[in-house]
Amino acid sequence: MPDSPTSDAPASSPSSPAGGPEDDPSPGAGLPRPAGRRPTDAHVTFRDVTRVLGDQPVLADIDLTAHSGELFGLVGPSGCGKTTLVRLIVGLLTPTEGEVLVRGVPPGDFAPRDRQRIGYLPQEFSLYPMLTVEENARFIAGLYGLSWFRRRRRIREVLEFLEIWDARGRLAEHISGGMKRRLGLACSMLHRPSLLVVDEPTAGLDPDLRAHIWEHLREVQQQGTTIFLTTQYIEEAERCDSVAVLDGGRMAALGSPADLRQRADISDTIDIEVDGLTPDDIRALWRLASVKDVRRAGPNRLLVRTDEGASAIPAISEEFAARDRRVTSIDAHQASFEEIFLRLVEQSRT
Amino acid sequence: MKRLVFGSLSFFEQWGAEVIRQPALMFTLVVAPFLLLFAFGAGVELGGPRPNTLVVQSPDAPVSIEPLLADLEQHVLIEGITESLPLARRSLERGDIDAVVVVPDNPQAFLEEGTQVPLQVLIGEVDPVRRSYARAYLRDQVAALNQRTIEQVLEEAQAGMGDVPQITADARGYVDVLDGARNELEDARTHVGELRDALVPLSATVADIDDTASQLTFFVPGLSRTQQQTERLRNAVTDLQSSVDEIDSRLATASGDDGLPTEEEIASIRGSLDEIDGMAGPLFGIAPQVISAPFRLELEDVTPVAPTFTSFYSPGVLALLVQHLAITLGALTLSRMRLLGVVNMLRVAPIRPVEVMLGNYLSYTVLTGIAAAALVALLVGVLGVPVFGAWWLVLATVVLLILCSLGIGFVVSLLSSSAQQATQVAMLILLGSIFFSGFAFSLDRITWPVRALSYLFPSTFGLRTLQDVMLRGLLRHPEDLVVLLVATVVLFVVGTLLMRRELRAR
Repeated sequence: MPDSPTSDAPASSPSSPAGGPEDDPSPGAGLPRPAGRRPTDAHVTFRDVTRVLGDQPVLADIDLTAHSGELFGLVGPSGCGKTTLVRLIVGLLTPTEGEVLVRGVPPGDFAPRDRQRIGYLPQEFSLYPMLTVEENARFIAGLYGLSWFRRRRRIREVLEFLEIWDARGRLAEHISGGMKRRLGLACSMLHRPSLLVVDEPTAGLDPDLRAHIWEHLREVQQQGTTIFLTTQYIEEAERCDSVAVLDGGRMAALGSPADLRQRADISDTIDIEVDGLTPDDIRALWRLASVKDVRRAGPNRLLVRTDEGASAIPAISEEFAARDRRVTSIDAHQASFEEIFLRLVEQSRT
Repeated sequence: MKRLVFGSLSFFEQWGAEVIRQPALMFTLVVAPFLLLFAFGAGVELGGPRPNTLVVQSPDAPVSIEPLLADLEQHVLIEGITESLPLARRSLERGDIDAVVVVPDNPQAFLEEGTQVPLQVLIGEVDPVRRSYARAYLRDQVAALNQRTIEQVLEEAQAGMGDVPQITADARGYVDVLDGARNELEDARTHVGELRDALVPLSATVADIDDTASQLTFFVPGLSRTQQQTERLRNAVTDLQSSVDEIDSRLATASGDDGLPTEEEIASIRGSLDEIDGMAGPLFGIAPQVISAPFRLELEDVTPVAPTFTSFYSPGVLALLVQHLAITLGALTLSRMRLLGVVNMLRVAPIRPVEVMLGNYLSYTVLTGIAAAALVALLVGVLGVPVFGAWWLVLATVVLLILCSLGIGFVVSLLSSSAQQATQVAMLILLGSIFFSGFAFSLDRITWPVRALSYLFPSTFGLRTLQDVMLRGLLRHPEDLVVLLVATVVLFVVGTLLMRRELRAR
């Protein structure tokens, strides 16, 4: 990605870009930030946001902050309110209660200059089926005021970046689902937004294509773009800097993937096979600090629960070596993010 | 400004690209209406074909109907002759024939009784236009029949009246001879007798003229003056004959020169003969056709050229097509955008409602304008539809009609909840326009307050202006263009406000 995103006016930010988390008054500011990424100013802020559709609350008491430059993921099952939340960010909906701010401006009050800084890929991206890939991109670029010359150059850049330049002459109705998603992503990036709001970018795609799109998103983020995305693939949340877990319209958890794993309190499991296993061996394992539970799964097989499987394996191996036992196999199974998600949801419900 | 230009033009680019890929669309917009109009002009006749007619004649009819049939065949197709009126009526009710003419049994009897002869004609048409036409046509035919009857009577009467000028010319010859022999008693007696004999047929002829005048007055009440003239003629003939008889009587008893006709008497006889010629001349000189139809229609058409069916309806078709196309395109705009999800893109994009409206106005105006221009080119170039007025007026009318109709379409689109609803409204507007815009019936045939409906449709103003400019070569109602302009502005403002509401966050 050659160019950096559209710059935002710092004055419009409610918090100082120079300030640390302690200076950040936005909700969620006290939570630990993703490793290796220093939080800057709040880009998207939800304060006690409730949205009612009909007489049903779709979102309730949502507090979150997505900081500039971060990749913020919103996960949750279908119907949990992800799309509604995204629509509140881009100004398609207004909150029934509470406040949504994007760079300090409520989306309902967006001026064209504010909209110019936002890129949006809806869940069902709108394409004119009778237009080619390039013509669709040209139409969207026109809506964002790109001149014909700039438009031509920029469309080529973005389509090449997303590897669909070769399909530029094909009618939109004739391209694959993956290409459509990439075309949608391309259209949302044409005007170099500083905030990219992407609703289910990988929905319905095969794992290879999903991975590919994630690579592209990471590259876009590296250019300084804040990305706010939703996904129903829970494991994709681990690729984000920050994750909000939605359940039934309520925030079940918020934090970095590591934070969430920790908060879920789900142990890793180590599967061990040992020749000549005895009850004393099991008792010896119980005495190790990292071991939380030991269960016999066969004559020579044990399932050991630990806080963190990878770091516990050396200690366990050493213990068996000291007891002159031969370990024929040892594998650590990390808890999946899906399990973490389920645990977090369960915790939030209780 | 940049966004206004590029944002608005992006709609135009998008539409242009889509239209180019749909050649069938241009066919539907241009060629199809042209072919319809072409077929309409080529295949529809003014007044329709001659009606298939069955003639009913009673077997007891004393007169031959051959002359009547010969006359009828000039105007109707005679399917046959029947003696049964019920049979003919059933054929008419079944729709096998268009009319039944019942020949009166004895027309002469009615005339002798001093009443009109009933000529019964039965029709079974359900189409109000054709019914109205049939009634007018039949009235016209009966009037023509009456006229021809009078002509025949006149011709027969004139043929039987003899030749007054010949009689008076013969009498003048005897008067001249009498004048030459005025001093010879015996010769004078002989020549006066000859003159008296020559004048005898004149009395009979004048009596015939009197009878004819009475009959003419019966047929043509306006000819009562003719009867007065014949009375004067009869008196003049009587006076002349009295004068000649008096001279004859005097000569019979005269002796010597005392009873000879004087020069004044001869001059008086000559004067009477001139007077009789003068009075009879006009009666004999008037052709039967003139007496039966004294007034002749002299119609002067001040239009530049008599329009054909195609020419007359072309401006209407153009106006209706332009209106319908623009309203339909406009009405489906938002439905399509909603369906494709483009509305959400517009809500998020930094484009203003007015820019969205301008972009769509531009796209559809150009598209509809191209269709209208192509249609006009075909109408003028292929069908020979004239344009007597200024071309810029045609252009201005079409553009205003497009803009106004687009405004209606956009408002319909923004108020409709679905494409089906928008399409229904567009079709209703088309139907209303056909009935009330002056296309099917001229505006002056639509009474108030129903006529107020006519002024709801842009095509009413467009059609009238296009017809005037194209067929009359003048702009009779400039206010129509003003109305279209004002409506365009109002609809644009309303549409933009509705678009603002549509694009607002929910």
